[in-house]
Amino acid sequence: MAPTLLQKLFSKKVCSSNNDCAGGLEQRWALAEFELAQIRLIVYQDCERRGRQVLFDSKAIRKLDAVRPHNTEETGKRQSATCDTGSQTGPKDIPPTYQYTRPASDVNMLGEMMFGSVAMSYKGSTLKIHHIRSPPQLMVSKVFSARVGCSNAGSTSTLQDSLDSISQTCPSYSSSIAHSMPVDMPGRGRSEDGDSGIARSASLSSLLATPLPSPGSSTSSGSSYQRRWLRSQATSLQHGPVPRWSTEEMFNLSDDSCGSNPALVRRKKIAVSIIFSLPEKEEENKAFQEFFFSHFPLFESHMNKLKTAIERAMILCRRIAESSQRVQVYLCRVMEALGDFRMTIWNLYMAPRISEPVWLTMVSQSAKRSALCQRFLKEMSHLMDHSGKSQFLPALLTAVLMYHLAWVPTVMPSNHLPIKPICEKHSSHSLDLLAKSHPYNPLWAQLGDLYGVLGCPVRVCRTVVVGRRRELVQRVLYILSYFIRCSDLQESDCKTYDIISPNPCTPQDHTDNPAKPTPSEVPETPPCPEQTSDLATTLTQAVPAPDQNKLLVSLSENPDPTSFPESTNDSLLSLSTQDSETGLDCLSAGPDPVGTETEFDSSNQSPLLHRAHFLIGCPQEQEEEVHFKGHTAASGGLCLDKKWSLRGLMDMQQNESLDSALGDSDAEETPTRQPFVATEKHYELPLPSCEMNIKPSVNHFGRSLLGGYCPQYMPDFVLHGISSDQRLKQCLMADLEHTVLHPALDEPVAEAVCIVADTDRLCVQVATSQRRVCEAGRLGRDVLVSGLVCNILTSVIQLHKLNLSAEFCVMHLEDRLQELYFKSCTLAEYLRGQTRVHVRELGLALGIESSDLPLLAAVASTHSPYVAQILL
Amino acid sequence: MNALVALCHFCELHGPRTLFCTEALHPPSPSPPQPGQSIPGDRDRDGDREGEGLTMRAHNSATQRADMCEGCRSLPASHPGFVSVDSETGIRFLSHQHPRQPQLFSVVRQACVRSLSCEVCPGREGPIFFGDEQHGFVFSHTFFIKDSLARGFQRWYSIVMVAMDRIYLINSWPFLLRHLRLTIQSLQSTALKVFDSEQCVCPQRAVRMNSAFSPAVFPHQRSGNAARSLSSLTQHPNLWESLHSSFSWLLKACGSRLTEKLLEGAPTEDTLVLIERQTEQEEERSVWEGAEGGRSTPPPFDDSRGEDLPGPKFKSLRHLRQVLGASEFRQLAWHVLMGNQVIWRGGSPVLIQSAFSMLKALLPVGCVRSVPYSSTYEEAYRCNFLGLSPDVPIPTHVSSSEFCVLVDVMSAEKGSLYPVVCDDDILSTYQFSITSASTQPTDRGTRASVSL
Repeated sequence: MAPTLLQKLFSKKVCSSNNDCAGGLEQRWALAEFELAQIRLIVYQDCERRGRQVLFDSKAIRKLDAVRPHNTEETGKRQSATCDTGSQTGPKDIPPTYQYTRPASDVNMLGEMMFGSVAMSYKGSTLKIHHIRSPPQLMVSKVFSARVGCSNAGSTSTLQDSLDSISQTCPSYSSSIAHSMPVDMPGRGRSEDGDSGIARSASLSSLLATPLPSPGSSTSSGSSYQRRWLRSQATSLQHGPVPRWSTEEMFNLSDDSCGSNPALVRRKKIAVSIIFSLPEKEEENKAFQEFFFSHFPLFESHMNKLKTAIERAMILCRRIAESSQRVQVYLCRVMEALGDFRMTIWNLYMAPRISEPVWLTMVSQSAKRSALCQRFLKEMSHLMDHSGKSQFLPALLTAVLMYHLAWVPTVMPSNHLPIKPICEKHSSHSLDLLAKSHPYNPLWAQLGDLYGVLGCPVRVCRTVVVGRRRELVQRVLYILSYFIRCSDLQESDCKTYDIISPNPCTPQDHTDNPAKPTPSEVPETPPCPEQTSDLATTLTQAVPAPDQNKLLVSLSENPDPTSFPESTNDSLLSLSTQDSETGLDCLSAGPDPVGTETEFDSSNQSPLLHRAHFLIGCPQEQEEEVHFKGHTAASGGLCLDKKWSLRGLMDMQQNESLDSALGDSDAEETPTRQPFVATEKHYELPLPSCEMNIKPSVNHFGRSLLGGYCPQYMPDFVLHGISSDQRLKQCLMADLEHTVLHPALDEPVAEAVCIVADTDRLCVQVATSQRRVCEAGRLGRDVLVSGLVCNILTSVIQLHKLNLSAEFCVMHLEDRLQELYFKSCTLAEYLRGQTRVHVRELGLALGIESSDLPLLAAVASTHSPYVAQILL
Repeated sequence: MNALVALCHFCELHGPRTLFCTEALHPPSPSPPQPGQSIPGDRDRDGDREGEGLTMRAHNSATQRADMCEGCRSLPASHPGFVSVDSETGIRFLSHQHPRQPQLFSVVRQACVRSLSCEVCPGREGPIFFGDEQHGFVFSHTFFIKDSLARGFQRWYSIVMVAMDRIYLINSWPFLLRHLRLTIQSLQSTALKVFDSEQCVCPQRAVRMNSAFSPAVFPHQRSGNAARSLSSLTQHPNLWESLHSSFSWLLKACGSRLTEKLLEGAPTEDTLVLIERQTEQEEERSVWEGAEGGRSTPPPFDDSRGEDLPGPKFKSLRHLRQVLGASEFRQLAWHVLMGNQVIWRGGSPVLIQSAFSMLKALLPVGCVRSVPYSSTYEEAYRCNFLGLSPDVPIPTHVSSSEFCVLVDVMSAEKGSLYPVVCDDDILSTYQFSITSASTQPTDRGTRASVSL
């Protein structure tokens, strides 16, 4: 059984790495085993004329192999890996022969799920995820409109014919569903732009040419703050749906250009679906799902790659005249691509990780700081001793600091007084506020940090350390895990707020069922702890005030249903709470809630208790002005000082006569009212408190993308080590190009870069998607070693050798990094307003050496984007 | 979270309908679009939407309300809706039957129709994710609610969460599933109790089996029953309030599920000094206020004063250098850096003040003590930047000192010596003469002069 064998091999390596390397540098990531055969690929076609057809289903393909009678699913991977290279070289690696077997019984159902029961005429690609309960599976589908060439319109149909003719046991999977009229959803005009990465980023920035909340100087961690703010704006619902880029991603069935003529696009859809069989054990199932959903951008990116390979296979096989051979070529190609996909996913899930990345561990566990600093310096001086005069570490560090730019915000001076001792940096306050008021996806932000996507032009970078000596490679990885930085993520475990259960008295009151509990019993025996809450209990949950319980009792013990008329929701409940600094909602209510109006202001009593108005019962006044002021406003700079005029306590008739807020048209609102945001009449309800139980998150990119010494080159990892660069050389260029075309970041990317550090030869190269031609045998260009970086390293190591405390040395390192940042500011300031500058001039005026210029320019571009344009 | 949550229903008479929708309104960014002003591009998009097909057409609420039954309705038309405010962040959660933002109307409609009529979920109950860049992305969970009077004794609903950020939404899948399931289960169990009790009173199966089926009567018989609202199915008097709270909570909790911890560098010395100074001032002020009943103290150094006043000003160090000339500027800068007293004497306080604010950039904030404009000489221990009115005499021990530099600002005469013509009026208005007793060491001055 090949995959299990493979896994055993790998996991053995993993285990041994855990044992032999000092301190257990690496850990295996996955909680559970994962097998290649758990990934199934289906390619489905939905054609107006011919109905639905399965174009590929890895479950229904059998490999015909006389020598080794293996089942297809299992040998698929091995064979496919050799498929295309082998076909040219020797007779030993003759491409395998595949055969379609009986279709799996679930394909019709899966087709329904992929395409939906109503056809959509939307031309862009659609993404879908389904959860299938039994057997437990997750299905990810991308549905594309097919772009058919003008020369050979038949395209897939010829393939289908061939497939049909090969296996009589395999009838066409045309489904007999009566199609309703396609739902008409035309694309928008903007779809036609055939945009390149840079053009896209230009249009993106113009789209987002919204003024920033606090430009430049006033926020400390400027660039990262800005990136996050822009993301929250770009994905905001308040602007309605704004397709950000590439809405017209199609499935190419033609290699000629005339297919781009929209007139020739037929109503044909192609779905590429990946189905993951989920583990049976609940824990393992949960672990995989958590991993899948948190790492979805990476899965999606690999699916895009797979889709491209399928496109190519279809185009290629059309050129083959002979039918059975055509099918063989097609199947072989797709199986090969599937094999790659499976292996990549398997690696992503199973590969070893650095168990204690230095920077992240310092951030998350400050108690460990001293020990970490010691270890870090020890490893660094070891490496310096090892590499001798070779400039290996300075070169590597120059490249890493230049491309993995997320260290810059961590040295940018803060505007706030540190609460802790100065050596302990503190977390960004402005970012906290931003995350709360304009939520963005922290996972996305973290991924961008790790890939260093902070500069201009937008570059994505990762680093691979190659070497036969495991402990040496691991040492380099460990050191780099201090410089490749990102924010730490914490997951708050919110207790579910459940409030839907009704007042339990009501239904029973309407019936005379003796089997049901009598109304009087109900308050004492709630059916289920999480269901007990109606609105009243809501308040108790949010508010541990004793008065509140009294209120609850008086509401829920009320046995007379007439006191709960149908229009209870019209008896106004107006309430505003203010979160206290401690995150607790404090709220008080009067003891007699029905029929009277109570206003209770607790804010005068204690600074921790905040003001709360609680009004319930019959109207005394029609208008109640509630005024409150955000407490955070003063401290956090968020302006929140609003006045809401609340329509208080009024009955339905008055509502109907006065308020047309839900009337036929928004325009009918009386002009005296401020539009929408300022004042509008609503029933105000308290926001249920969110009791956060913060726990360290495991499934985040900071933990998952800093790889250890891996058995194989990995295209996703921000950092990892491998023993040989053989596969790296095969795949790197294609991977970099793919990164630019389908960035996992969901953001246009101008360039993809990979830093390759060879610990055997002690050299560092930078490969880029932009420079395709390299000298033979080389992956990229050499790194120009920055003198500043050299000095930093030397002085830190010197201090360490003088037996200064490790924490002091690390602090010194941070100061020196901050110095780099300040130098970049000088450079940016000098370049402001200039168009062209000679390098010599920079040396004379600012004392910037030419070897430092690329690094400083990259750093400067994170806070002053114009720098890149002048210096490029 | 940057999303909205909606409850949708497949009405037996009217098809998929949005019942209830909770939106999150984020506080406006510092320069928000003026009220009433639409965001650029809105109009285009709305125009586009006109072209959308019949099924998906965003009916305006008027036409839709015309054929609405109880089952398709949540809040009565006159109901003002609910609001909850997150006072910490200013985010407001609004609930109505339909989204209030017009650009979201068709987005929600689309999500509703797709969730209940287009997308196929195995078993019909469960989570699906679907969407595209144009219509937004949707996490949908479909479910049945028991209804003793409905066809098949159940009605079909879905809760959808719509967002533009597909990655965020997909990342949140396990969280959303966990919490929506609880909401749905409690709705279902509540409705089941109502169902059971209704069945006890009047078992519908028996009624239906016994009643003679007549095609002519059937639709009319059922039409009355088809109109049961969710609140009557659950007998929940505060159902919509509860849903509002639940959905608001979900939006808030989902947005704050993951928090980032990003470290910053140590603050600069300047920041520390400023913070310290600010604290001192505050303390001083509170002492003053305590002693003299709220009389405000004059601030010791008012740097911002005069910045808004009209008149020629220096705009940057570059500008200052351009006006003074390279070697004069260098001389002046040297004195500033040496910590010598820099005296500007002239008739325009605004100009002098602006010169000081530019020159201050050369020093750490803690080293700046300025008296912007005075009618008497102030000693060097009191200030290193001193502005004086034109006729103030300078004591000889000062003017002869090498630790002092004097810049006299005089009105310019015709035929100025300065050949450079700037587009501002400082040069045409003023002349500057710099005098100092010190003879500066001639360092490698070329270095600085290339740059600025």
